[in-house]
Amino acid sequence: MSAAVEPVARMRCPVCFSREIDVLLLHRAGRYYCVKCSYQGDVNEVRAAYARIREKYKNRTTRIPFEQIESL
Amino acid sequence: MILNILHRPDSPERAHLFELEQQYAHENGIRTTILLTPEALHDRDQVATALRHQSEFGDELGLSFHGLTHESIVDLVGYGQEALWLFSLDQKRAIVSALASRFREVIGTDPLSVASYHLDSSTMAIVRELMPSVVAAVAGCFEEGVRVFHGCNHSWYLFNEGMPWGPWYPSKSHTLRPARDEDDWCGIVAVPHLMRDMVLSYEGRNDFWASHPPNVMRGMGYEGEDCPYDRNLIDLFRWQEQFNDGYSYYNSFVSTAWLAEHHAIDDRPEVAQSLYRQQLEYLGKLKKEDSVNDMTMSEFATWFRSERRIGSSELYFAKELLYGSRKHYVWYLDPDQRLLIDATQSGSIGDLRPYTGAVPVATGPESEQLAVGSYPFLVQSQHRTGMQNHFQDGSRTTAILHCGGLELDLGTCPTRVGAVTRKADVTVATLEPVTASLAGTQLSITTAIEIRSGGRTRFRRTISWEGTIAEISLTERIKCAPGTTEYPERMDGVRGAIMKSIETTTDGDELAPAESSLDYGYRGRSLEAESVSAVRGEFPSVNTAVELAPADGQMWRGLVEEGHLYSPYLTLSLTRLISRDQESAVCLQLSSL
Ligand SMILES: [Zn+2]
Repeated sequence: MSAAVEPVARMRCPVCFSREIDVLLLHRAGRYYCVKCSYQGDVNEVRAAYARIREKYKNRTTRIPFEQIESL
Repeated sequence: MILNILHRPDSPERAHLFELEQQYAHENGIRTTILLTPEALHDRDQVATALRHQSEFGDELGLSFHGLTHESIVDLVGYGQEALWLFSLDQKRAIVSALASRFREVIGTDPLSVASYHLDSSTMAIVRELMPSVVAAVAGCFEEGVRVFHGCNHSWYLFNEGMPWGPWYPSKSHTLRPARDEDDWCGIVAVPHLMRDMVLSYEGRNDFWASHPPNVMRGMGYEGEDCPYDRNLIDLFRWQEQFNDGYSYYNSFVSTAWLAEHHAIDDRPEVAQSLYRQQLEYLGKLKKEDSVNDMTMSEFATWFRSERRIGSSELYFAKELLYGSRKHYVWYLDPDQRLLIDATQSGSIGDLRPYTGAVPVATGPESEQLAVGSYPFLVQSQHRTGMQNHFQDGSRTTAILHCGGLELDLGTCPTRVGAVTRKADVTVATLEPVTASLAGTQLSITTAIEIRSGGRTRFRRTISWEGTIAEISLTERIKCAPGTTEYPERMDGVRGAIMKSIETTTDGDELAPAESSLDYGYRGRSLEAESVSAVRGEFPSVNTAVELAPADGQMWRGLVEEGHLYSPYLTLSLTRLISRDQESAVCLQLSSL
């Protein structure tokens, strides 16, 4: 058996994350894959998936001034 | 707003990050409370740093009950665990005693403050006995439970749902229940581990949305090195001062592990460090403007004792910050109940914790509850369906209108909170009027919810319409399921009853209300009667009776519905006809059995 499978810190599965579950992706031959679901992809695909996840947070770059909380 | 900044030095390998955190706080003029772990207490350099910061900056030194894998603990009890709540009672006692000695030995005083994500009633009693100097404790994580358990791939056994979101006086019998009075109080002022987003911590994981910048990174609620959400959340907590006699509290407790490479953050540690620094810069700016008052934990305990009476109520008007949904919730808490009003469902109660029942809970290996330290609910719409999905609805309150053979569930009518007023004896949340169409008639519905101590909540509604319809049928309803998690718990001993109006004999003597009842057996039965004085449910597992009663002097028909295995609830309903612009009122009353 090859020991080439190594956990990659700081890369969570974007599909499991969309279900609010943290699962670290494993890494083999340039591809990342999830042991909990069937997701697999390269690093660019994982990053692109993260960007899509962020899109739902429409105010993620919006500072809401204190004075505007009243009408929020 | 009062601020506590809490730091937790642990491994010597991360001592530079502890110093970095301290530097961020001090650069911004903020004093900290340093909660030392066993590892730090055995690290001469970190102890020296902590002592220096105590004398130089006025920081407070306390004790953390975390990181108990250190060899001193293994030598003491035979093995190590991440946190105190996981050990058995005799081990807890040995550890607390040893840590008290170690603290005294290296710091030279007894600790005033301690911290644990979870400090159940039995552990709290041990702390009181073996560390009488302690006046303040981090003693729970607001709404940490089912969601985080799932989110950590079913591996984070910490269940603290149903607790106060701000500082509180823990009762002796259940740390997460606010004490009724001095006798009921455990003697320590508790603060939550982090302040949580009071919308998103209910709807999802609490550990994504909190006063903890790396937690927000975990939730991916930022972009690049910018996270305005961190500052928006601070301001929303400041904004709460108007509802609680000018008082609001905030804390942040970022351990060093979060500023290093972390398994739950898909980004560089430098970004976490930058966002934490930015949070403290903003808090430092607010301090300079006199909008924030930084204290140590024990200073806060003294302030809290003198300014907040045991038994006070607390209110949080939650507004959604991150999605831009404009959703509103109102949270209310006193020693009788904690309840959540969901304006998006026209005032449905989405979460109800009947503190009136004063259910005692201790956790630990030898306890019945094991790791589940939550205060049990009677209504929890996130864990128990809430609004109907494919079959029947689940636990919630709602009002249902009937006209011309058609039905309108007010839970489908989103609105916002128009006003919250707080008086000594009553808190009122008034929702903005909502318009809806029923059987071709345009309706305008106004809802006001009045909450009083003693576990009393009154729903007042007024319905206006144009057209020829004379009356509309209104049903007010609560659907209950006692529990602590998303899975149904046995309804053994649950009883439903209808109380008929008090009858008077020819001599004018009052007879006890006539009552018909059923014992829960998952058989889908119901009881119905005209002109009732109340519909009632009794729930032994939460030691609570719930009554829904007319509060407008009108005749209401009562209905009690037993559920079945596919709908394991007890439903209490009141129905009457109302005419245009006539106000209706029903009262939800909690009491202990
Ligand atoms: Zn996955």
